[in-house]
Amino acid sequence: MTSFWEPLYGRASRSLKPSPIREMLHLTRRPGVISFAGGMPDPAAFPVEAFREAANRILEEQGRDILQYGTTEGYPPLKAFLSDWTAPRMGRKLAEDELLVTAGSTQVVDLLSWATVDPGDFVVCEEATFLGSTGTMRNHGASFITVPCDGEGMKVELLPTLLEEAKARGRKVKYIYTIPNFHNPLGCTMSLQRRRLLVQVAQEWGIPILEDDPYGYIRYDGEHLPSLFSLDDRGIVIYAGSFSKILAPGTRVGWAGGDREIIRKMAVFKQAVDVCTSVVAQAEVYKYCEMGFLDAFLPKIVDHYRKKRDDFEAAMHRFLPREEVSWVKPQGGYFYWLETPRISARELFDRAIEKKVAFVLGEPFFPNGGGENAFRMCFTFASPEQTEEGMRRLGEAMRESLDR
Amino acid sequence: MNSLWEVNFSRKSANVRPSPVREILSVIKQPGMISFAGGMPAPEVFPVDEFFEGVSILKNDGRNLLQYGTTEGYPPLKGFLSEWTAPRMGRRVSQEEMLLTTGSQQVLDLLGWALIDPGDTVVTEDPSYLAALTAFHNHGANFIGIPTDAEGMIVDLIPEAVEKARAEGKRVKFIYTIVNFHNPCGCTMSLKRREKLVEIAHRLEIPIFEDDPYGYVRFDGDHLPSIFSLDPDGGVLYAGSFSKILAPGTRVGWCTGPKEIIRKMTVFKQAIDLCSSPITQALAYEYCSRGYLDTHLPKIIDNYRQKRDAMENSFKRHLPLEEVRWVKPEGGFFYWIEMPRIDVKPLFEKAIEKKVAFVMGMPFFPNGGGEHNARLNYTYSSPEIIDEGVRRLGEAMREILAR
Repeated sequence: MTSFWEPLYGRASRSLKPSPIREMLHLTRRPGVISFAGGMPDPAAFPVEAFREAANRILEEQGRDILQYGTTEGYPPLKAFLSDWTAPRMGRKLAEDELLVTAGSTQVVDLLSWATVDPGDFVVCEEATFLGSTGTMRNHGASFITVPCDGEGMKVELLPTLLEEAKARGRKVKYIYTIPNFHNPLGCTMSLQRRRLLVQVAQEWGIPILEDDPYGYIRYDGEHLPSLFSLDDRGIVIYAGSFSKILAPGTRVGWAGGDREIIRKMAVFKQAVDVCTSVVAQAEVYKYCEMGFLDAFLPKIVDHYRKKRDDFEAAMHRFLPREEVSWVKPQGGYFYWLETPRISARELFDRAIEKKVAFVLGEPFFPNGGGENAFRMCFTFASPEQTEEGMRRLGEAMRESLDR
Repeated sequence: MNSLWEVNFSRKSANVRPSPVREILSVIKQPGMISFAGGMPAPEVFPVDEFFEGVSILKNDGRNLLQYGTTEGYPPLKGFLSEWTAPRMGRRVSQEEMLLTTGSQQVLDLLGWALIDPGDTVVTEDPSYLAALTAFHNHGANFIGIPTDAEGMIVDLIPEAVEKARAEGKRVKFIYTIVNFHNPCGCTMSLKRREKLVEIAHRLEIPIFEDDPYGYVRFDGDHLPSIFSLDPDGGVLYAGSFSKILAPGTRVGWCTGPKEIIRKMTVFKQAIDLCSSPITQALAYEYCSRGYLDTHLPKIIDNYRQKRDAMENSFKRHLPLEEVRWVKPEGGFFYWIEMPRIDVKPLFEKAIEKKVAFVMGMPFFPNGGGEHNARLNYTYSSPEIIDEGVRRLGEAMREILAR
């Protein structure tokens, strides 16, 4: 008997939706299903031995210290390392009070939303965006203003008009959420010109930017572009980074870099949320970095995934009906975004599951609707053989959908 | 100062309070300061070698542990906890009745997400655990504070207080209680009161949140049944933690309750941090499954019992006894002292001058009070340091009284 609880649920509880990806898991876990659904790293790319060596070392050297409560702001040696390591991307070395270590970059979204979002406030985001983030923002009561995208990311030139409209309707916009590199789910990367314009517009309007960059260091082709953070001279950009993709997600270590005022505010909320991120985990990550493993293994991880992306691209060319589907080859990250103007993704999904291949429907990525003819595929997890076979099945499913 | 951020702050942001311990951190760190302020375990009790034996699990299962974990938590650890907590919980709980969290602090936030809307009411002991009040306050809660005595919360006062709040149109969402070795009061709820509380909560149709981070750190007497075990109706959520029985740096806690609320909290956890680190959960599991939790816990308890006794003796030796009252805690981390004729604020300032720190009573009271109370932690310092700190505190008290 649990009737005690339900009548007592709060607003957030009543409107809470579990992640659609999670809900699909029972389908994708059926025996024989090849899944392009989740956004998980390939365990074969984890530097297990190096991590274990680092863990052993730090526990030997610092065991007693790292078992104690840590400061909410994060393990100082890790912050010092990050300050150096991220300097090329951030345009400078961040000070200790400009960095906050978090439980993965998901927590950055939660903490920034604690600090800025009241129910009814708005967040600006790409028209399709990471649904974990919009879910977190929604819990805080946020609604969304969405900006259309193309191969160069968010069409920032549309932003002033959208902001004018919002203002005219009395909407309070609290921040702009963007994934500039190897977007999840769209795979696109924001061009330098758009980055400059975005920072300019944000500065003019006095609206902060949350630059979510979990994939930024996983670039396969071309040159790294300057971060939004580095293009801003007024402290309006909060940058979120993560070890999930450059080391391993099981560490649950991410970070936020930004203006000290907002970092301090987020730290005060973090105190109430989880006191501090596991010092054991932070120290293990630190030692891994400090021993040179991060720099030694990252190129291998990037090579590993570049090969997978290329296999995926080749398989798509071989098996999919080319005239019915379009995509942009991602320069980095984890995802392909497929658009199928004449095929309903939902119907295709059912057919694909019958044929034992899975992807994620486009719709849940669109906070304000859309995506009925689009879907996301992750290329990092499946083996080359699975990729080939999965794509063959998907091509079959597509052709059958078209024949109907 | 960047006013750009300030104009974009939420209402919650404008009201958020940093912990008072954190606020006096710079004071605590002064050279020569003896601090009874924090609530930290003593590093000398950490089972460093035993804990690190577990790192070998990375060799066997590293690929799995470095991957994203399930939000619900590392299944082997849940299996272990189900067995290990069975005596306290009254039965072995199932996997769906348990969620592993990032310390038990996260349970407070998750329950806040699940139940509290701005303006809702939470019933707590008066005083209560500060970071709980803050977590609930961040979600917009108001509080009904129920006074305590040596037997814990005076539960007979709950019905009238709740009826009154309801008559004012308030929605009372849950009763928050720290039944064992209360933070800050040090008291433990008697069995009779526990039974009564369950009955009252049932009658009022309000769930109970039983927060029990210190429950296994008992120095004297017998363990009492948990509230969870006394309630047959699924109206209790129980929160536990490895912070005090192993080490806080793991950030591994758990909560146990009816499937329905556990499921709800799990979905919120997804949006908050996806999952707690499977690596630290696995290290905690290895430690437990090798038997170290059971062999090492008595050593932790012995260490803290000695320190509790040291503080008790130092109190008797150095404090002006006619001016100070306290209840000797049967477990946990804290003494709570009452000084009817001493204002704690000037005492604090005087104490800092003499290089001893504690936490003043006020922030622990959700609706005001505590001007004559102080919380002192005894687990962190050695008996010698405790004695010297209490000596300084006694001096400070006498000087304040002599004014």
